[in-house]
Amino acid sequence: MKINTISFFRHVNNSLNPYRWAISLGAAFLISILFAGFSLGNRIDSDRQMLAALSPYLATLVESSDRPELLRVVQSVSEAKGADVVLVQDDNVLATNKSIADLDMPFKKPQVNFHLLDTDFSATQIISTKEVRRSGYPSQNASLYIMTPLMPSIRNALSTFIILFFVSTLVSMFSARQTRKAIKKTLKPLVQLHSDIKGLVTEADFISKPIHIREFEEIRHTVNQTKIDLDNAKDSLAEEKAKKLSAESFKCLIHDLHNPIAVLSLRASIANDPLKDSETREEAASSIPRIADQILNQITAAKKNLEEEPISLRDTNVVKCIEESIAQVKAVFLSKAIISSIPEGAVMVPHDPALLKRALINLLENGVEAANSIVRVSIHQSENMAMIKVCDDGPGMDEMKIPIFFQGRGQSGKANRQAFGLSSTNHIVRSHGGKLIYRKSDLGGSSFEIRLGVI
Amino acid sequence: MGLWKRNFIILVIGFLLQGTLYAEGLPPSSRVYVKSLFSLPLSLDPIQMDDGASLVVGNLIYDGLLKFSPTLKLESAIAESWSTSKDGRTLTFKLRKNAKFHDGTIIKADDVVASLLRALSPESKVRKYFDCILGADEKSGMADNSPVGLTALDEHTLQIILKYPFPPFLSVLAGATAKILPKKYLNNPEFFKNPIGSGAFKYSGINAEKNEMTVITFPEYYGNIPKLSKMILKVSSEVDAIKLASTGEVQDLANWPLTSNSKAFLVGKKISSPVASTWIIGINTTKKPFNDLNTRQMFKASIDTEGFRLKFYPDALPASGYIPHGLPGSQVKFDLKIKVIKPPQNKISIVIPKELASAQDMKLFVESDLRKKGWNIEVVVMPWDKLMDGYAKKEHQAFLVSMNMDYPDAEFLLKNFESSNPDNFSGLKNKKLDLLLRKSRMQQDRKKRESLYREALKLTEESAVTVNLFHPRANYWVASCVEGFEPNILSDVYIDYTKVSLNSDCMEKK
Repeated sequence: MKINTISFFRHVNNSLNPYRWAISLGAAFLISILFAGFSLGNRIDSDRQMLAALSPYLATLVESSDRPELLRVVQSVSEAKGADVVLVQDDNVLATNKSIADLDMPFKKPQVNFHLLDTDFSATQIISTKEVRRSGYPSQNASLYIMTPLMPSIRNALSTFIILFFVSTLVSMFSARQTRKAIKKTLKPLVQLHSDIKGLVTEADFISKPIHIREFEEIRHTVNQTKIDLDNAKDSLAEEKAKKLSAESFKCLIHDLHNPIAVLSLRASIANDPLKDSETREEAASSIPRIADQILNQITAAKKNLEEEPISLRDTNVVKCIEESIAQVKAVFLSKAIISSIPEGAVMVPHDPALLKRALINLLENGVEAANSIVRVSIHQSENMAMIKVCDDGPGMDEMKIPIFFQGRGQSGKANRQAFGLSSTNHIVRSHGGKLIYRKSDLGGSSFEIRLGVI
Repeated sequence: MGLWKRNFIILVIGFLLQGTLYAEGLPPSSRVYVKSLFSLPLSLDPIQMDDGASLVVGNLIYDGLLKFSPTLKLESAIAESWSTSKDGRTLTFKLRKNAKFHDGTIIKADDVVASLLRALSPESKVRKYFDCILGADEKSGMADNSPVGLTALDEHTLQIILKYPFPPFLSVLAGATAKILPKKYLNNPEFFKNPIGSGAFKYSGINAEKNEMTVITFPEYYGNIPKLSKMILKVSSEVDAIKLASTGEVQDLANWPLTSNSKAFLVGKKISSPVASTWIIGINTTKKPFNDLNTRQMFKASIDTEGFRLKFYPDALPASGYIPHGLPGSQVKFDLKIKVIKPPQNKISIVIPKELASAQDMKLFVESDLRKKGWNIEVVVMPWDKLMDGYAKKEHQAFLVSMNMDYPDAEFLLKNFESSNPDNFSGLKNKKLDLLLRKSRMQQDRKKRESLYREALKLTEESAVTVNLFHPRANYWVASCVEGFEPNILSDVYIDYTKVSLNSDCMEKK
């Protein structure tokens, strides 16, 4: 089942998002409501304070019945407050900022729609009222009304709300942005840890840097140490493997030497057997030096190969090894074309690059020498195997003699070279746990295929 | 193309012309405003003005240093700014440099000094308002020939020094009699036949045949240029004035104290406002039988003032005292304790203005009321100018007048009863009252001054020199096309006609 994955950052961000926006917008809303309410309350309070402040002074003017002065005060208050101000005595208008036609006429108080915060509200006005009197003096049955238009107050409150909501939202957005940044910054050591772990796993020469978060640093250190331990374990394993392969190659050598030595022993017995006729004994005696030479050659070749047994088989990119081998042969043999078919990307095979390179060069040199014009190198990768093919368009080889050549017993037409080279190549491939296979090439000549195990 | 271009130019010119016409308020004839007056001004000399018609005209053609707003706030007029010294005695005025007389000359501080000096002259009827100026002699007009209280500091700066700090003096200067006239013409005895003023309107002339006076807009006025081009002040009786209003020949009946249910309001607009006025029956203490205090008190108590108010001016406020409602002193309520006596058999004549629509009904009401109570009474209906002439000469025993205030302070009305005041219609001589008034003038503290007024008002009431009928509520009638008409709570005299206009669309429909 395929799992849709998201980044840890996105996960944290998505997890925080609902809370972040809900809190931000909720806070913005509450602050805005608070300020809008404060604005309205402030206005009402301001009207009340104005009434309280004016009351004693107006009381003296009412006592004096000084309407001109009352009108001036009322007009002035009205202009300052942007409200209608009416002074009522005995239910008649004594002073007002509105039409002077209202003076001495019955006061028509606007219809009160609701009462809030100890203040009357009509459909269009906030009505604040206070009795006009001086403390300790008898009532003059006079009241001052400040009737503030509701719309500007609502507009102010609404403006306050909108502005604050807008500002709060901006702050929230900024905060959200900063939170994202903070999350990213918080996750940076984790990302570094991730890339360190990845680098440590995939890159051989990766150098990991310390992380300043203690927990992460401990993880990084552990991973790093594990990697070192793993590398060491791998090295040990490669050495073990090499030793094992070396033992195997010894076994092969012993196996390969068994027949010649048995033949040598038989020929020596025949040569020394008085019961045999002299011709048979001479023939047997004459073949002994040749068989001995052959055995010696095999031993020499084996010795040379054994001297260069792989110390360890590390998983490295075999493509690099092939490319270097081609380049080296090309530099010497300019007249023949070496074409290659190598896939992109690395093909990781446990091998000893120097030895495998020598094996490949052997095959390439043989191919170039035998080829009429083309040598082709290709590599294919199957599930658990890498196959390196070196083909040429030369005359090809006798397939019956191939095992002899692989054992180093064949007689090369070119100063014994091919046989020795093939035997050496075969030995190197075997020492890597692989196989060297000969087939007729589709180009018409030989086709040597090295099969190596893939990680 | 050529045709289009020509038509376009004609169109543009048409629009321009139309624009000009609209700017002027379409067409000039529709900017002529007819205001009804109960009489022609008895004088065009501000220092002789003691009747409403004169004051109305005076306020149109003359300006003072200050003026009243509709709610009696003091505003700058010819004086651009003013300041008062800490002791309240020295007032300094800076004159506007662009204020001109109707002949185009700039108004200077010398003109102001000359105008105020005239107000202090012996022939001034308004001298009583200005006698607080330092150097004014209370008996003969001037202490010497060069009073130190009025000084032109420079061409546009005037200083007034008062004998004592008198806070209402700024209101006096905003009043209808403190008008500024050109000094250079003041020695010309014919000046007031064709006066050169400083107001928003310019005197144009009197048409005796039509019994009307015309004033035209003064285009170089320093303030708001009037929207009206011309005002015709047409004299008629109240009945005729209402008829003219109904036919659209008159746009303004503000000079008439209409009741709110007047037929005039079947058309046009009603603009209602209180005014600082008291309708009284003035009593002359120099005429028998009113030389007797007890008789005066009995007479005062005998008149059914509330009945009179309810019958003739039901929307007016009851007169609780002499001072109009809403002004310091109006709250004084005094129950007159009188010794009940049989009314004297001397014939008593009460003069009432003929121009009042209900003059005859008033006569019947008062006569019937008082005769029932044993008074030998006769109410004489008399033309206004004759009534005022008798008033000035103190010939009437009793007379019905409206006491309008020139400035909103009780002192204005109380002053009428000061012994030394030549305009004291009652002829009352009361040393205690005189002393209280002198003290009150020197009192800067509002509350202390108010308590002195209370005492003075009590004395006045005890003296029974006025029968306080009611405090009128002005119900101004103006035509439906009139805009910008704003009443003034002092009186109709102070209505600012620079703001009044005639709606051109409305006028066209008419």
